[in-house]
Amino acid sequence: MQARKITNAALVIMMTIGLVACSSGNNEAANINQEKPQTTDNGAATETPKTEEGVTLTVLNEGAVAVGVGIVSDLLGVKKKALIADETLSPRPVDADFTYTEGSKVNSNVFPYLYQNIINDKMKSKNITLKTEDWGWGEPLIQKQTAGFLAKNMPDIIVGETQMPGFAQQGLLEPFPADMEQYIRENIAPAAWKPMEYDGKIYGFASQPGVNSLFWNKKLVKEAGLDPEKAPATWDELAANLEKVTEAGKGKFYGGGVYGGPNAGGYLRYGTLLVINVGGFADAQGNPTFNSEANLETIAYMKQLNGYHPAGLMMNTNEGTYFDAFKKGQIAYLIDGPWRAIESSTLGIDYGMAPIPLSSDGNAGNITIGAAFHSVPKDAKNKDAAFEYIRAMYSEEVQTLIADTGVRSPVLKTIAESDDYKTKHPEMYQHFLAMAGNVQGLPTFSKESSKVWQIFGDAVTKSVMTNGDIKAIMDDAQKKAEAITK
Amino acid sequence: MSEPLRIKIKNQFTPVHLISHIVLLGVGLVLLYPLIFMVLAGFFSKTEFTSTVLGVFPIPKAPTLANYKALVMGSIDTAVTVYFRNSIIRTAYNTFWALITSFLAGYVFARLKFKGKETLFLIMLATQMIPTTLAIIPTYLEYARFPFAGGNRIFTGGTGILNTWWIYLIGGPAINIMGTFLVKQSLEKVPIELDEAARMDGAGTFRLIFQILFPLQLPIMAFIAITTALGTWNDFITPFFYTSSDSLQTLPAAITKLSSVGASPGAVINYPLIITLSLGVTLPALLIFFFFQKYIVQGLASTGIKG
Amino acid sequence: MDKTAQILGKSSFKRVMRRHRDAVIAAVILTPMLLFWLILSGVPTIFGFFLGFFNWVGLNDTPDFIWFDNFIRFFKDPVYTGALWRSIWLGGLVTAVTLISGFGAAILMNMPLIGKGFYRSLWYIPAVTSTVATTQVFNILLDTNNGVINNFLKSIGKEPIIWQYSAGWGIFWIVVYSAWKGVGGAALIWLAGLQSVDQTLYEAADIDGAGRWAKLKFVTMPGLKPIATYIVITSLIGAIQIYEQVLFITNGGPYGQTEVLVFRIYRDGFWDFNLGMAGASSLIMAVIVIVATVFYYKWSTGSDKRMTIPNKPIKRGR
Repeated sequence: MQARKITNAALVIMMTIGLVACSSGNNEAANINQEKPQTTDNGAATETPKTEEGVTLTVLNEGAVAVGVGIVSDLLGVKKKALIADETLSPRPVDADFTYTEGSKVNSNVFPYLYQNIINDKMKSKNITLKTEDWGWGEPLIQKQTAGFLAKNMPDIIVGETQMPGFAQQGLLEPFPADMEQYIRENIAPAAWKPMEYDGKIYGFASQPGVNSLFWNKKLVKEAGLDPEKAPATWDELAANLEKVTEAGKGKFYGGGVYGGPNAGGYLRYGTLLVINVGGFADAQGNPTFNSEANLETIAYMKQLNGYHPAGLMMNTNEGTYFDAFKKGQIAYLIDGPWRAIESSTLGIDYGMAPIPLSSDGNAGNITIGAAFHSVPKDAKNKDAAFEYIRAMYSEEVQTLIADTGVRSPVLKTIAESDDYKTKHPEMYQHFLAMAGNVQGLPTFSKESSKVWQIFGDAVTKSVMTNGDIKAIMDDAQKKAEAITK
Repeated sequence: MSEPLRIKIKNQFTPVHLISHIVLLGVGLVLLYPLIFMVLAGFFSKTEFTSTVLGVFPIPKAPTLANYKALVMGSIDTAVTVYFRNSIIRTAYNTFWALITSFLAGYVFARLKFKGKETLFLIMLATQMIPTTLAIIPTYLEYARFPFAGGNRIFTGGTGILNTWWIYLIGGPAINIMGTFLVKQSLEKVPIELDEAARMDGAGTFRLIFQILFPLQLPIMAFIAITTALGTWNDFITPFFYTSSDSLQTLPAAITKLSSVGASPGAVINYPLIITLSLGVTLPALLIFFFFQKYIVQGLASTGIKG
Repeated sequence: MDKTAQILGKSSFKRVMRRHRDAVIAAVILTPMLLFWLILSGVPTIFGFFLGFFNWVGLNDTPDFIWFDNFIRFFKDPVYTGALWRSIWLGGLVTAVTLISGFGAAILMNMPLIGKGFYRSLWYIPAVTSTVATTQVFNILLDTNNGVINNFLKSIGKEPIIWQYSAGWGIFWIVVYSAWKGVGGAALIWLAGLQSVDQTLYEAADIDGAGRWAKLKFVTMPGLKPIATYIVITSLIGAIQIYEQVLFITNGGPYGQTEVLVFRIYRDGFWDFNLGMAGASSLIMAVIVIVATVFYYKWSTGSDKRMTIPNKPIKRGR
């Protein structure tokens, strides 16, 4: 007992020395490294003007809107040159694409430039200098964020997807100020913030999240003798279509369905089926509900879908493979986020897009996917400026740009619900409606969340890939999961 | 092995020799296959790579030089000149220190007598068996709290030495345990009488170490230099974890980031670019090896791992 | 160092210096190196082990001292014991395959062949490539649906193989990848061993009329024993700690059947923020590796007293 007390005290001292950071004295560190962005063609660096007054806001890079690493004002010019010089892009950007007027058509390759330009101008007017850092994405990003939180060394705004709700639950993020929260609740589609809601507060925002839709390759569907314009409305209809396409494909192409791999890419997509069938990963308290009746039904349906895929494709561990199969015209149907539309048309695939079919007693529902949630860490140095940045993300200018680009839907209701948007982008309007409905994020379990997810993912793949009894497998997974979370 | 060349050539045609040639070359080419695949993949565009069915030797329909251009001149996301510069400086620096520390420490453990020598050496060796994954987060904390650096007062306040060149510099003078082990083994084969004779001639410790013993150890030093250089050259953990500014990155770290970006839904991994950049990492390493390989064998053969 | 003593000049000090001359020189040389080494890896590692005695789940929690609970959990939870067991036998398998193929190559490379240097380089190329990049190439080759190997199988009319859902194939490819990367290095070390075998023994064997096989068995093999000890220990230590290839090739699947302990440590530390379990597992692993090394060393060298416990290949540069 005594020893325990002493060690505890010693540890607390160690931790206080080691982990507690003071709030000041960071300027020196920030100034040590002034990045010089590199240009592509001759290697010459552009000048980096150093702003002495005002604050420098550090934001993590996000792939969909990245213009490079460094001071954004300097990067924009470089990015423009690089985009014009890049031969691999299609459509290739021309000079005129870089001036944007609201309502005009946007070259999707120039979108990151225009997006950052608007936000940068807004920040400049508030005397904020924007700086980006690249911490990667996925696993490497989570590792670096973990270390950064422990050392209390975080940028002003961090970005991430499935790990972010967990950070919020652990009290590592700053809740949005009350006025922002109220505005967001009233004016913005839930897909953009609902997964980041915890204990009645909002901890993160994504400017252009997605939800899942059903996509299909019209050419393949037609070859199977089906109406390529008609979307299946129920699970049974979908399964019937998949079967027909698979038969017609004779091993050259297959029906397809949904990606089911044991990773976030799988959960984010087939999770939609669980939600539609009024099941789900966890109950309201965040306890696992892996073996609920509804889930068993959904998993049995997934097992059926597996038969409409080339062997092993559906539960492949590498999600890229699944989407490549669609691009290569090997599967006709899949469930994915809105970007699938523009990617398909770039590749010359004539595609259809519709809401996900419903199960016999299911309700419409969806999972937020491809959402880069922006949050302000508790240890951020410039919180006010950081919230200004997030305000800029849902400003009318940025949201209009997203609407005009047409790759994803805006989340600001006033723009998405305008008649102009409905007529110009009917598919993306459907997508917006799905974002405004019953939308969830992936839950974070109370303890050792990734281990619990792994148990679930493994159990689902086992149910689909082996002939084992689904109920027995899922019961076992539930038991294992409860042993960890209890 | 100083037989005349003519006999040597003639010998190549005995069945045993021929079979050896065939096996070494054949299996060697199979081992090379992934690299051949990489070279070919570099000519693909991102779109074509994901939308076509790849054969054993993939040939693009619309070959592009964009990836190789990016390797030589950089692109928007990849300032390769900076990465290469950083990699070269780091490699040279670490190799320099590895040579000094392993030789001096090897000398200490092979030649000097002091209490606790064996225990100290055993402890050092034991630490080499600990999984390095464990130390990443504690190291990060340590660097972030480094006293009086990066705005830290004593321990807290700023970012310590994170994201500075100190990250790369601080590890240099640390003892290179594997190198020490090899030098120790190798030196133990050098008769102690040599030292005694040198001392009789009035050589000090310093002269003894650098003028008499060091030249004898050149093969093993070459081996240590090459392994350290290759290790540093391929290391991505240090730049990735402990720095964030682009000006401090090295090529392997940049590749790690590029390949992780594809994990975000909707993003397409630029495999051809990643593969081409990886080739860029491999090539210099390969050249280093090719020119110094005979020292590796010599160096290893000269160590006391003979027992 | 002698000069320092002269300048300081105090007679008693001089005497101490003379008596402990070696110790003083050793201290002067080693202290700075060890200090830097402490900063680089000593302190973080000890800190990591220390965490093994704490319950620290979550980034914002206060760590709680729990004595040996993490260690007890380790041995009770099949997730950990299973991972440990897999680490051991997978490591053994990787070592065996790499060393045996490397030995074969070394014997061929030791013959008076023209272009020896070229072959050595050719075989060593995989070792200098980066794991991140080459595992990606392996994944492209192994892709279930459009992978190069399955495309090839389909083109010759065979059924494609679902690599990802067969533990056997998963292990097979992890071993193949590791052997691919390691065989060149192993061959080099064996080669060094072969070249350090006393040449006069071969001549003596020739006089006795021994054949190729007899020479291999009675001269080469015994002569290689010391280097075999070295290479088996270093390879085994390296192979028990593999996780990058597991992470990139199978990611622990199917159903955790290829999950090795270092992979588990990595997941605990970075995904579940369970730094306590990560520390405890590392400590257990380190103890096992050290004990195994000492035993193997004792067993293989018999009465040889000279201490030559080697370690894993040179540490990645920091």
